[in-house]
Amino acid sequence: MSDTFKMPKLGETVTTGTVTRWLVAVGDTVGFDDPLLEVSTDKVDSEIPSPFSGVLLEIMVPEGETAAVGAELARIGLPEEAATPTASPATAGPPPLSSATVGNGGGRALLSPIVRQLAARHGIDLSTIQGSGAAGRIMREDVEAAIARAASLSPAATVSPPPAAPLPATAPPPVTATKLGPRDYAEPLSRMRLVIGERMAESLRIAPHVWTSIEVDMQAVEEVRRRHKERFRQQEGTSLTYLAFIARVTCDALRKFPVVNSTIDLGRKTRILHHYVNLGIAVDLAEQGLVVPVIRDADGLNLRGLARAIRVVADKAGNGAYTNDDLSGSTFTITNPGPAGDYASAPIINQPNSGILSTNVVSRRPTAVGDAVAVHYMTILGFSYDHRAFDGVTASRFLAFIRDALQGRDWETELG
Amino acid sequence: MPTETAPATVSYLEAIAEGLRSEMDADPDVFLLGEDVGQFGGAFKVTKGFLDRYGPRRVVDTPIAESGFTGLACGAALMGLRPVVEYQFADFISCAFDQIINNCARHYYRTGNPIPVTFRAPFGARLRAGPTHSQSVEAYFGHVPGLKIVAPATPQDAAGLLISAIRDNNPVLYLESKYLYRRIEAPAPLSLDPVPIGSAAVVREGTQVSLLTYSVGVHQGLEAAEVLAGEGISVEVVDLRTLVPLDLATIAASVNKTSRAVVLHEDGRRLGYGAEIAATVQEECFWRLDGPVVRIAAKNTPIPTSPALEDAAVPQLPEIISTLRRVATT
Repeated sequence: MSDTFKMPKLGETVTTGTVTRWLVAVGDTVGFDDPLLEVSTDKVDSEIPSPFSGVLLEIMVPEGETAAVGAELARIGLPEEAATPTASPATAGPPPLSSATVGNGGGRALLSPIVRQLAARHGIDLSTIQGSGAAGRIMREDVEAAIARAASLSPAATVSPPPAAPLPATAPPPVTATKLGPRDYAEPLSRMRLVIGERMAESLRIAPHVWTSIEVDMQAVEEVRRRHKERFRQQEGTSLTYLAFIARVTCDALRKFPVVNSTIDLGRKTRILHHYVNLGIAVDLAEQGLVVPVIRDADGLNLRGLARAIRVVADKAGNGAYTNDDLSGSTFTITNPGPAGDYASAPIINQPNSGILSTNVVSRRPTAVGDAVAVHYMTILGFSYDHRAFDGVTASRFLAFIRDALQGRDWETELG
Repeated sequence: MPTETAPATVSYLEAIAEGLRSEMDADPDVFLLGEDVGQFGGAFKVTKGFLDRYGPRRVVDTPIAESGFTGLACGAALMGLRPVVEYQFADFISCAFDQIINNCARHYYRTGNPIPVTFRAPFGARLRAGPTHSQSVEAYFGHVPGLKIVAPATPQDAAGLLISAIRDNNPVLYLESKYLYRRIEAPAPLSLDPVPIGSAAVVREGTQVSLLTYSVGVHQGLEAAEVLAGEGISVEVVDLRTLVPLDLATIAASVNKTSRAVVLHEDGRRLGYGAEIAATVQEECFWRLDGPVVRIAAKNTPIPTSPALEDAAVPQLPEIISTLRRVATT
């Protein structure tokens, strides 16, 4: 008796997943909760634990192929079932080899475990193979050669490569392979790096980026922050960050400038205006990648609510506990390189948004106050926007709104 | 002082001495004891000059009484020192079975307290030294829970594994090949970084058969692999380096790749450590195997004194080549 393992639901809106890697080979034993395979969806790589203990008897969906939620992926059962796998032409019943070919007299072919496994996995008919081992025994290399022959005859008949993404309208120039020297090492890219790479290149390709920036006097924010930070930390268990203030006024600015909070579609000659702000916050994963978890309906939150929400999504992302749903649906994004010390930064737009705000280091700088020079906490806000969606004057007024709100708002009302 | 130019190479024996000096210089709790380790500089001169350098409290000549000085070392370790015990020949270690097995190897399990002792045992045949000076002892001790066992094949590993053994908080049996002492050299200077216990090394990559071996077998294996490469047969050589705990991940990765395995050692075949390795490979890799796991080992006899008979008793290159060829191609 065996159990069938099906593609799990990896998020509310996820309907398919791609098997990126089987972590257990057919014939190997897997325990309950042991890692079984890696599945990738739009943005998330998930390691799926086995819900059963037993021997992995059969893999129905090979690496690189995509399956719907609920599709059968593998069979797991008792070890003795492994000896007689079902529904596999190459191994159902006694292997179709004459005793003369293999010379072992018993009428059953001498087939090693690896030969059986390779033949079953690749659908190779072993009776068509001439063995090169002693007395014509079929060796691993003989099956591998047969697999290679089958692949060269009909590429589609055997394991097909993962479905290629639709080609971009303008094909990228062919990349010439970099020659590896003795002190070079070609490191394979993680799935996340590949996805980020493709998305960044794609965003720059489709959206004409323009960068602008504005200087903001953060002295008022700093003073409020200083007055409330101890109490805030005690009450909330998290710091009152500059980011929370900036996110708060950005939500207001997005409501005032709806085209900045829009998704443009030149193909359909439309833009989608959102009557809500789903705010993406870029979170670094220990320099191994970047994800953008989304705070839904962020425009309904006050300063305290946003500070809480930022902490929740950042923790979830840092722990790798996010699902595809946590990362989708943003209408605008903030990236925050400031803690690392950036003076002014020009990020790439997180598609399908029309703009991205970058928050940079807040530091004490001389600035004119009236006719005097004072030392205030100052910062630069950077803003990359899609020039297809709106023009420079909108961008400048959007930033000026944020600046004025940060400098002039009565923050006590939100922290009382 | 005459100026000396630094030697260009370091022998396996010098590497052991370097490893010892490195730890004795760094840690005043490390001390040596054994028969003739002081005045005479060790049966094979590994500790030549140590008595002058470290004095008689740290380089202790003992009577010919392995059980006694092994017990002394265990006691010193319990009191916080880090003794390194030298047995002149691994063969003599059987006199100290009780101290090693019943006192030392059990201690941490019984009490939770560390007992950092290193047992240095020059082992193996090929020196025409006869049945009581040529034995391999890893199988006896491999069966004992609580002992780690290392068996380096190269000068770099000889130094690095000795340093790890001394720093380990529990007993380590360090099997040094007296056949390799002056036969294997490495470019100077050696790294004095510890080589982690429990980590095997793929010393030659190949695709058709994995040779799993240690100590002298590594050098025989590399030579055989070179010969077979000329015939178009690709051999992967895995230097186990540590016997307990076995680096199963490296072994399984290699055998799963080549789907064939040969185990080689100089100890006797019956219940030799190769039996354990072969059984483990079979359990872990059965579904990826293309043939039986094969052992190459010494005959089940005492090691003969006669050169001709000794050569017949322990694995030689022709047998290794023909076995690898057979496993890879039939």
